[in-house]
Parts: sequence; C-alpha cells; structure tokens
Amino acid sequence: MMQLSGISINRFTKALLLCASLWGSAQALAQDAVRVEITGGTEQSLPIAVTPFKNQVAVINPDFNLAQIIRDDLARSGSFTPMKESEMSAAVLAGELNLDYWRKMLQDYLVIGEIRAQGGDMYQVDMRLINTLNNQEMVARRWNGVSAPLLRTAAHQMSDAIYTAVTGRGGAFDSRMAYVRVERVQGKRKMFLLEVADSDGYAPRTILRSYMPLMSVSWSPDGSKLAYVSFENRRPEIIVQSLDGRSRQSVAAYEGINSAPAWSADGRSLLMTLSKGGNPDIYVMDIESKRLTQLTFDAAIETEAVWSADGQSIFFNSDRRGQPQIFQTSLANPRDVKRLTFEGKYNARPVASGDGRYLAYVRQDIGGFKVTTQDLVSGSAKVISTTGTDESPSFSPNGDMIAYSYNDYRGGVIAVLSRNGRAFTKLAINGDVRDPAWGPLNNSQ
Amino acid sequence: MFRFLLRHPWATLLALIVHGILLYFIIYGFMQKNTQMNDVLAEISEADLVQAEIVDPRVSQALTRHPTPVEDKPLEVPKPKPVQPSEQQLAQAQAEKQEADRQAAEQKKQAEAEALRKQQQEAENQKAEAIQKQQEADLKAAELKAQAEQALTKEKELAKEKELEKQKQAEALKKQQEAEKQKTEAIKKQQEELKKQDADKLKQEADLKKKIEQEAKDKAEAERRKNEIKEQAKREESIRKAMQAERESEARAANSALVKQESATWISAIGAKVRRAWIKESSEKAICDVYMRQSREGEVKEARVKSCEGEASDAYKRSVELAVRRASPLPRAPSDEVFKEEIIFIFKPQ
Repeated sequence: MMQLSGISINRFTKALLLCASLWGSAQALAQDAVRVEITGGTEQSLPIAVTPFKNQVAVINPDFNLAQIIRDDLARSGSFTPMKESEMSAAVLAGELNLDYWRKMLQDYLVIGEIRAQGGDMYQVDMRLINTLNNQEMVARRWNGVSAPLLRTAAHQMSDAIYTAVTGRGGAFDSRMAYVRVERVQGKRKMFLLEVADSDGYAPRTILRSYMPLMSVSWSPDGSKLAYVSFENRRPEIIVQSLDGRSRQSVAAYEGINSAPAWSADGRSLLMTLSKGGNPDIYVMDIESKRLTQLTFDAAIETEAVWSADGQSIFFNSDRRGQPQIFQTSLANPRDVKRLTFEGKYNARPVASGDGRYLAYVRQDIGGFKVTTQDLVSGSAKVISTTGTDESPSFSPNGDMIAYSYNDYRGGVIAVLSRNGRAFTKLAINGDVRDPAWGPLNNSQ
Repeated sequence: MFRFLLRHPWATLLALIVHGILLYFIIYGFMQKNTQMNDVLAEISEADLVQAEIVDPRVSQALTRHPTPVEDKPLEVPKPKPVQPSEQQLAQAQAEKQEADRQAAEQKKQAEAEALRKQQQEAENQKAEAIQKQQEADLKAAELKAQAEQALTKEKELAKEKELEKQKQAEALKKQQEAEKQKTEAIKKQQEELKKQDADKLKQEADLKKKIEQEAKDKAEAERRKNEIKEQAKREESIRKAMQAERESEARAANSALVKQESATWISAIGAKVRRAWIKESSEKAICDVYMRQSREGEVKEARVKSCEGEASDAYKRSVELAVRRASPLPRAPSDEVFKEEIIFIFKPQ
C-alpha cells in the first residue's frame, strides 16, 4: 500500500512538474510572441449558410421548407445573417460539401440537413452545424418520426439548437405567441380574436372570439393559460383561460379599472392594475385565494406592472412625475420606489427580459412611439425600432427578441425586433393584429 | 814426378783443374741421387711426423713396433746441401771454363809433350779407377736404391694400410661423431626448434599483445584525434556562428530602423484586419488573449483563447478566436526579419 502510495505520489509529482514545465514554456512563448491589441470590433450578425435539405422535395407543402424556416428564424434573431439560397452555387445546391467554398464566401457557419420519408406522412430529419473556420462540427442531431404538420416545429427546434450552439444562449424559436386580431364581421362590426401562433406567426389558432375588445394578454409561465382583459361585460375584467378552452375564469372584475395582468414566474400570482380604491394602483393577486395585495399607493396613475426576473420587485408605469415614466419597487418595501427612465416625455408599457438584464418599453421619441431597450445594469437605453406607432413590446423567452405591434396603412402589425436592433421582421399574420405576448418555450410545458 | 810438375806448372794446374772438374761432376752426380732419396725420406719423415701428432695411441704403438728404415740411412755423413746453380753462375762457370780451357789448351800446348804420356797413363788409370768406383758406387746405389724402394714400398703399404685404417677409424669416428653430431644437432635443432617455436610463440604473443596494444593505442589516438577534430570543428563552428551572429547583428543594426518601420506597419495591418473581422455578437466586456500561429504566407494555422479577464461566455471566447481565423490570410510580412510566426491578440471591447 505504501509502495502504491509512493508510486502515486511520484506520478503526481511528475505530473505537477510536467504541468509546471508546460506552463513555463507557454509563458515563455507568450513573452516571446508579438502582442497586438484589438479594440472595438464590429457588432454585427454572424454569417451562416443553411443549405437546402437533401430530399426536400419529399415534402410537398412549400411551407415546410426546413432550410428556409431556419434561415428566417436565425435572421429574426438579429444574431445571424443567413446567406440567401439564390446566392449559393449550383454545386452547393446539388449537395456538395466544400468548406473552402464557404470560407471563400465568408460564411462562418454551415448548416446541412437531410429529410427521409418514413412512410405514413412521417419523416426523419438530420441536421448538422459546422464551423467553417475551424472545421468543427458543432451540432449533429436527428429528428425521428416527425409528422408533416410538425416539420415546422422541428425546424424551429433546429434553429434553437444552432442558436444555442453558436451564441451560448437558449433559442426562442420553438415558442408561441398570443395576440389579438381584429376582424370586421360583415364589413362593419369588429370581432376580436384571441389567437396563438408559432413564434414566426405561422399556424395560428383562435382561442377566443369576442365582439368586445380584448387586450393585455399574458402567458402563464407553463404556457397552459392566458390572462387577458376582456370587455365582454362592457367593463374591463381580467380573465384567465386555459389554452385548450376547458377553463375560463374572471379573476378580477372590480369596480373601475381591471387591467394589465402579468403572471409571476411561479405561476401563483398575478399582477394587475385596479382602481377599485379610486385611483389606479398596482396589486398582486394570489390566484388560488384571490387575495389582493396593494403595491403602489401614490395618487398618480400606476399601471402596466411586470415582474422582475427574480420576482422580488416590479416595474410599472406611473405619471407621478407628471408624465408616464417607468419605476421600480420591491415587494418587500413597496414604498421604496425608484425611477428608471429619465429620457423622453413618455416611457410606458415596460417589460423585463427573462434574464433580468434588460427592460423594454415604448418611448415617445422623435418620430413617434418607439420600442426602447434599457440595460438595467448600466442604465443605458437605446431606441431600437424605426416605426413610430409602437405598442405592447414583449420579450422572447431568451430575451434576445422583442415582439411588438404597430400600425401601418393596413392596421395593426406584429413585428419582431432583435434586442440589438439589427433585425426587424414583420410576422406573416394576416389581418389587423396587436398586443402580442410571447409565450414560454414549448418544451417548458 | 814432382820435377815434372814443377816444369809443367800449367799442365799440372790444368790437370788439377780437369780432375777437379771431374771430381766435381762425380760428387755432383752422387749428390743428385742423395737429394732424390732425401726428398722421399723427407716425405716419409714428414709423414711420420704427421703420424706422431695423431692422438690415437694404437697408431703410435704400431709406429713404435715397426720402426722405419730411416734409421739405417747414411744420413750421418754431412753433405753439402745441393745448390742448384743459377744460370748466371752457369754462364760464369761456362765462361770461366772456356777461359780455363783456353788457358789449359795453351798450357797443354806448352806441356803437351812432357806430360802427354804420363797423363794419358794416369788418365787411363784414373779413368779405370773411376769407372770401377763408379760401377761400385752405381751398384751400391742400385742396391741402396732397391732397399730404399723396398722399404719405401713397405712403408708406403704400411702407411697406406695405416692410412686406410686411420681413414676407416677416422671415417668411423667421423661417422660416429657425425652421427652424434647429427643427433646432437638434431636434438639441438629440435630444442632449437622448440625454443624457436616457444620463442615464436612468445614472439607471436608478444607481437599480438604489442599489436593489440598498438591497436588500442592507435584507436585511442584516433579517438583523441577525432575528438580533437570534433572539438576543433565545434570551436570553428562556434566562431563561425559568433561571426555570423555578429554580422547579422551588424546587418540588423544597420537595417534596424527600416525593419522597425516595416514591422510596425505590418503589425498595424494585421491588427486592422483582425479588428474588422471581430464580430461581437454580444456586448460582453471581457478582455481576452488569443494565441495565434501563422504560416509565412499569413495563413492562420492555430488560434485559441489563452485567458480572459472578466466574465466571458463561450460565445464571446469563440467570437475572438473566430475573429483571428476569419482574418486569415493575414497581411504577408514584407521580409523574414519582420515576420513573426506567433502573435498574441489582446481583445478589448470598448
């Protein structure tokens, strides 16, 4: 035993000496090498090529072009600039794998894939992500037994895998978005539809139809319920409804205003604005007991409250300084209120990112109301939208994208902005849409 | 007689001379024979003398038991040592003889009448006496000669036998000695061979050892030289590098202002391109350092966030890293001196 121990110690000592030697060599090398300082850099999206999946023709529905779905997802994030398929060479489109070609085309990443029909409208899909600069295969994954309607979901999952592998942050493409669409029934009467679609606006499903306005949609953290404000009883009420429609409950129908519901991260509490006390203030309701706790007490209007990431404080809109601004207060000490926005006359509709780092809101700026992001650590704010009628910003689950609505000549439009402001994408949702609410990731359900 | 001689002195003198000459010839002839015998005996004597020197006692005894007839030879009579007249003496004698003959002829002419009868008588007597003597002498000489020859023959045979025996013994002895000598020589040779082999072996070992030592020495020497050369090369390389560095330093110093200016311009251009390429998707404020490595052509090879001050999300970190990658290719450096492969970018959001 002693001998074994001796050997072990000896080997350990040798290993230590070797490490020390290598470290010494590395240090010496580092000292000999020329040192060049690189400052700044370019904040831009990463070039990526997503080649057409092999045997894509097996999928008849053109909406299920997996490569294109992935390109659109990645482009929407603002972190990637996918190469257009029309710019790819014929050889590449024929399936040739040539990393030199992609390096020459300045594409840092390459996505290749293949679809195999498994019969019965089922497919097997393979996807690979390759770093062309160091020839490293970063992702190699297979989806088995995917039915045709779920091919888009599989594509979003591929996008998430690529996004996570490259950025180190979780993707948010395989998620859903709720919104309110307004239709004109028989050309006159407005109908409000609560709909849920994929994060890119595809595959919408109607959850609720109402001739009375619907607004302020909020997802339960598990993605199974929606809270929203309905005027169906000719006054605002806060309704909680399951997505499958089996349950629907009015949780706040107090005198006056019942608006701006917001789920807590644990799904047990709901923030809301009530004016039952004569003045619109922020309350938190325990959903199960329906017990209310008042969080703001100022004589001004306090509304549109959202939870901070840690659930210990709230951000809300208040005009206590004469104009709507964003404030923060803690649940432990509601009287301790901190103002967060100082630029612009109007800063409203705050929403916090899931990581607690950023706050997005609508600022009245030159050119209108614009989505603005603010770094809660540094305090710096940045207007990221170019439209001027922005409303209802909502962070994606990973906090890298912001959905919002604005009005153009056709009516309301839902768009997605990358948090860095580099990407702006109008979602392909027909009709007059507004009040988007980005739900949690599908796999979190 | 005596008067006659006085009356005819010349004739007497001539007669004396003639007799003297005859006597001379007789004695001379006798001496010639003795000389020849002496020569033979001398040879034997010499042979005896040679034999006496032989160590072998048997030979000495044999010689003692068989005395040679040399003892009987009439050598005790002293005799003049034969002198071989020279030509000059002969010529002189011939001249003297001619003169004497002339004088004798003159004297003869003068005393011819008086002495002719007596002379002839005496001459005939003397001649007869001389012939007789001569015959006796010849006979005796022949007898001596025969004895001498017989003795000589015997002696020769004996000597020959002795010689043969001696030769045989000598040969046997010689053979034995030779055999022993050969044996000894063979043993000696064998010993010498062994010694030689040992010596060779030792020598070989010594040589081998010496060779090994030499090789080691050579090797050491070669190694030393090699090291020396290497050290020398190192020193030269070091000097060369130092000189090159010095030259480069001088060149750099000379171009310092230009390089600084070009470098500043190039870095500024790179910073501008990266700045344009920095896409800040989020508004985060973290300060991040990004390490970048590029090729000479400006192609970004590597980009990674090293550290951040402040809270920075992954996406933010990715944004600064991709900013560097997106800027690729970076502006090309105007020269190698200006070029920096590695750059640290410090991203500071405003």
